Amino acid sequence: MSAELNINWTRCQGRGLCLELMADSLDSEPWGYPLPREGQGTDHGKVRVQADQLEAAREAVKMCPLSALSLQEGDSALDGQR
Amino acid sequence: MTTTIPTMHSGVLEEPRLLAAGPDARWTEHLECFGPLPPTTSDQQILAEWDASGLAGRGGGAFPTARKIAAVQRSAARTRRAPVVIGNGSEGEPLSCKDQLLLVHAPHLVLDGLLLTSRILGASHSWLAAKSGVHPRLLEALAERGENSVALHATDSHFLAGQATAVMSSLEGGPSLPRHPAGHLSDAGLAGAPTLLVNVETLAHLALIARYSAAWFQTAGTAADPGSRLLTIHDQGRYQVHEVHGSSDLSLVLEQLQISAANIQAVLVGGYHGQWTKDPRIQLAATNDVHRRPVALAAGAGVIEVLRHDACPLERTSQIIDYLARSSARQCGPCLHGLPTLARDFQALAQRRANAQLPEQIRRLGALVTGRGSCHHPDASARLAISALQVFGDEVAAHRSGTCLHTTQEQR
Repeated sequence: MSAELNINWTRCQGRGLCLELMADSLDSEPWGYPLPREGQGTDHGKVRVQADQLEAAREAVKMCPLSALSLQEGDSALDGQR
Repeated sequence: MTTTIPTMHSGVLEEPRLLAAGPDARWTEHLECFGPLPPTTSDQQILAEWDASGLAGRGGGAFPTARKIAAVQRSAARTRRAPVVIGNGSEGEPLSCKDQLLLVHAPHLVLDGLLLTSRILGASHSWLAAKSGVHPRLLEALAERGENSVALHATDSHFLAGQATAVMSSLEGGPSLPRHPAGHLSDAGLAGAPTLLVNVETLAHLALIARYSAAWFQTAGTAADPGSRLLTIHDQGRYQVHEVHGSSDLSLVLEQLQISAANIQAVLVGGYHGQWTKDPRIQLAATNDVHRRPVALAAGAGVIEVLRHDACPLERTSQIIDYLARSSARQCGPCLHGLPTLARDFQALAQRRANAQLPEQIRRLGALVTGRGSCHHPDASARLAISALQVFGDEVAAHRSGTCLHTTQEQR
């Protein structure tokens, strides 16, 4: 079972709650926006969520003050886009 | 002196296809040249021909057009909603002039493609999005054929206005800025309806394939990149538009336009979202393929710019990146902050304000913004910067030591 975190960049303003909740998957970059840690980014600029991070990711989706995060769970999560 | 044109499927087309009815073709000239639209009884056959043709979109994305059409058909059947068809002639790429040329000189062929796709998909609405400058000619063309089922939409002229979701947003009365992709337009596009959005040149090719077959279409270009494409060629501040074979050899196109190889320092392939090359043996293709020989580079929306020896390539790249940074939709943080920083660093390099770390810093910034926006603007802008560092390594080294290999207009 795979999951993928999708960041709506038009909404994200780098408030950083997700960075705290998902410190193992997300890093902060020079302007404070979330950056997938080494090897956690996927082709489409999304973030791969490991099983042990799933609960934290769900929490981050709920807590994001700008509703910029969504989580796609299940086998379709890493399907090719378009 | 005449150059011998080799009898291969490359270079400028022997006989124009898209502009076969001549310049400023009116309805009568269009009918005389191409004949009427095929009857509705051949709609299934037309779909099969489109599918067999291998046509890829000519707006820059090069996505297989028949697959887009099939996705809209499936979604319309599933949701029982009539689809919407949008012809996109917004042409945001500043170096591209072909869509405007096509809309002015062959509007009926574009309308044929729009009407055919709308008819076959059972569309509830057909839109043609284009800059307001070409609307008078389009209105005339619609009147000439007594057509009232197509609505025109005026698109903004800024760089990202032609991006698919930006056109969608603008049509819905919002800002003409890209949206965060919530799914495929074929599933839920304009006002939630299954939506087919295709470039206007693509529509014109669809109109030709419907009449003359996929086999005819494939007599131009190559198996991997069938058919022809319009190419805008910039050189010395002037531009021309020509119809060329798919995967044409760059060197052959330049030779046919009498741009001597000796005068060429490099060529920007694919426009502002493109890449540089110094190698004239590349082919102008639908998509990049650097693993084969000759190397194929994506023509994007069909644009090349020739850089002559009197121009500094880093200065030219800096101008473009500056434009791209200013063209950010300013919606996504990494692009909003990253591109101006990238532009500033690149300008420092172009202006020979030596700093040994700059090239590495530019590479890092490029990697940092890539994939971190809702559209591909940051990715493509970064790619251009990095391609300049790769292709002009000797110039980068010169600039780092405070010199420049090329005589520029602004000698410091």
